[in-house]
Amino acid sequence: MHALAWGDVIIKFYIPRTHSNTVRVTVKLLRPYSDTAGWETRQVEFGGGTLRALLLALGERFPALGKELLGAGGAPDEAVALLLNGRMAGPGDGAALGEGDTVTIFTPVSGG
Amino acid sequence: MSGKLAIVDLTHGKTAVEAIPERWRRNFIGGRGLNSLLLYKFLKPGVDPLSPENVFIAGAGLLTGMPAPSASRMNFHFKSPESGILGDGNMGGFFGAAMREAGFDHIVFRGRAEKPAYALLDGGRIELRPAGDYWGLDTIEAQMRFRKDLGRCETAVCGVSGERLVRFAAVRSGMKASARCGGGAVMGSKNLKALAAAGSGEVPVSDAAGFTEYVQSLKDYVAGAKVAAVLGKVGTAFLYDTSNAIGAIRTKNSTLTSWVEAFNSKHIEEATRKMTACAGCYIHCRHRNRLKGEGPEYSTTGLLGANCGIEKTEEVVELNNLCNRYGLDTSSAGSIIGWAMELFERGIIDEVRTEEPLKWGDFGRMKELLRQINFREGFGGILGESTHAVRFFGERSRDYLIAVKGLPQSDPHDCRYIKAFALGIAVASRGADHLRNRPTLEIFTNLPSDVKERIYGKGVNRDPTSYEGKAQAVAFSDDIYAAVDSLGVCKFVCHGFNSPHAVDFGRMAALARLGAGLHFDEKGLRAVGSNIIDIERLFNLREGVTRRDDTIPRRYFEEGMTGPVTKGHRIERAKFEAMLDEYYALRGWTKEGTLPPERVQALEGYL
Repeated sequence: MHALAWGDVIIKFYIPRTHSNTVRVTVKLLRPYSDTAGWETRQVEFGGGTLRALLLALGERFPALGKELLGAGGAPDEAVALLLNGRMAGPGDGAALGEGDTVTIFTPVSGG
Repeated sequence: MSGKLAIVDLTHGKTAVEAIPERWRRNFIGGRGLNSLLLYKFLKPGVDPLSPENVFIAGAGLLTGMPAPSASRMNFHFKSPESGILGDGNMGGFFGAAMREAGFDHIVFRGRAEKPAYALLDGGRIELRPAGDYWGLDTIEAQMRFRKDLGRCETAVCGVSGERLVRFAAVRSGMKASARCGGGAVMGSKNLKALAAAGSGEVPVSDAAGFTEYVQSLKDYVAGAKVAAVLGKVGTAFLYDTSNAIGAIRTKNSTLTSWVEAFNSKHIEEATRKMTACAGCYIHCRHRNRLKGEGPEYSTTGLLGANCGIEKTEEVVELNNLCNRYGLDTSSAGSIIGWAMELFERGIIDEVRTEEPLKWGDFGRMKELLRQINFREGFGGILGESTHAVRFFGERSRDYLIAVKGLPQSDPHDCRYIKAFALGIAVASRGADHLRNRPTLEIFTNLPSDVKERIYGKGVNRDPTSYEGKAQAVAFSDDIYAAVDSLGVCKFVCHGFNSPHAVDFGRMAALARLGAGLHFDEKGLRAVGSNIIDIERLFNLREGVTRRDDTIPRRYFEEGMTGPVTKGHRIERAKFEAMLDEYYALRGWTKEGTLPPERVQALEGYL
């Protein structure tokens, strides 16, 4: 838990939602996902929920990207790494995404 | 398993050839492991690394040259002129396979040739030949000349930098390098310009039918991994972008930890002509660039780029190619030049020393400095001393050096955020190096806890910024990377390096049994990894390493990171020391980091 900052208040209560239940977030893709999707940054509206729900929504909307992000049975692939508003996060993390959140998707592979 | 060990006396021009005892194979395998044992056996403590008393050892992995997954790798071992402790470099390409095809698995060079010489390996024989005509040639010219003179052969050479004893001179073969720790300078100090393997023999496989069948099934498993597909498509340079995005890229000698977005891997890929592979490789991670070189890879991109304040990615391609032609370790070159740039900015050194201003991002000056380092001229002559340049720059300069045990950090990933990475570079047997034990799975935040526990054991906290249990992750990585290095298999297909799958201890054991007739179970193979770590530690203890040397750069303790995710992160000293205690206990070492007497006795019993 952390104290609610003014930035949170503005994002959560003053940015108007596009329509009921949907949430608009900024999705940033790093390579190789940006190569697959053909874009690097997008505003994405989805039905709300956790990071897992966002990944599933991305998989539906961008099937080629979905093949990279989701493993067998539609579960998020273990080789997907996520930043939520600049902090490391996992798709199983419980909190629902808020309007205006930024999610960065990358692969945790590292070089030799 | 029929390859031989040769002992070459360069001083007297004599060669002895021996069989490799089975107890060495069973307990150290080959490649890095057996080389480390040979280094301990053949080197007296306390010798000057650039004197004839040092040894230079070439050793192929147990599976090198067999059609096992990505089994191209070999090691060169010596006492490092850069760090003064155990030195080695691991290399892909084709030389390891060619050396075995010429009849040798390990070769120990002792003494110093009176005049420049090269060693020709062919049909189980080693001949020392004059190399006067090749002396003074760079690493590409020399190799082309050998090909012209000898016909089909693979060569491992030093450049002018090696001849002139640059402390981070590499050994080069084809477009690959054994870059770390100054092996090229040890070759130069011995008047040994090259090893040329002209053999056309075969590497025997113990159970050819079983091996082929097993490797075929493994090929689909390994090559099918997403990680393999990504590396094969875009190579490693894009990983720079990932480190930069989380704010963990060493920038301007680690005064910053993120760099301008305009500097990125896309431009490197624009300069890529095609992807290339080492012998038997499934991954083909290397770029052949349009400037007739290979790379740059991720480490080089970070260290010759962001770490020196370079803003144009295409300039790094050129700097990379220059280092390769000269035969310089790009990790040390980028680290040492970045260090000097900060010292100049702080006024710790001035133009009296540097001859001209030394500014971040000065591409022209960097090119000139690399040339000077290669030829040991002017200020570059001092930079060629690597971390020993503290002698010229003064004790204050040490505070800004990003190195451990005298070896500049290899990886451009700043270690203050992921705590296990910091412990890894502190205890790695050749100094600050990520290829010994980096537990990359620490970045896999999507890895379920039970999978992580199955790999490292219980108690490794999922949070990469936690110190809890991280010693376990490092100790596991120590052992499995030592085993895979000794088999001659690339880390890009090694379990835990980039993937929680790939070639694990069980699969390694199957490959060793079918390929070389060596029987291990998973536990036994991990114990061999442990033998290798311990013999390397014993070597370093004999050279005077103590617990105080198992540390990290001052900056990592005292200054916070500056990146978007990592801002403010640093390593807390007390927690670091607790991790170190835990690590020593897991390794069975004393609280001072020494080996118990009974363990020393057991290891020396293998000699």
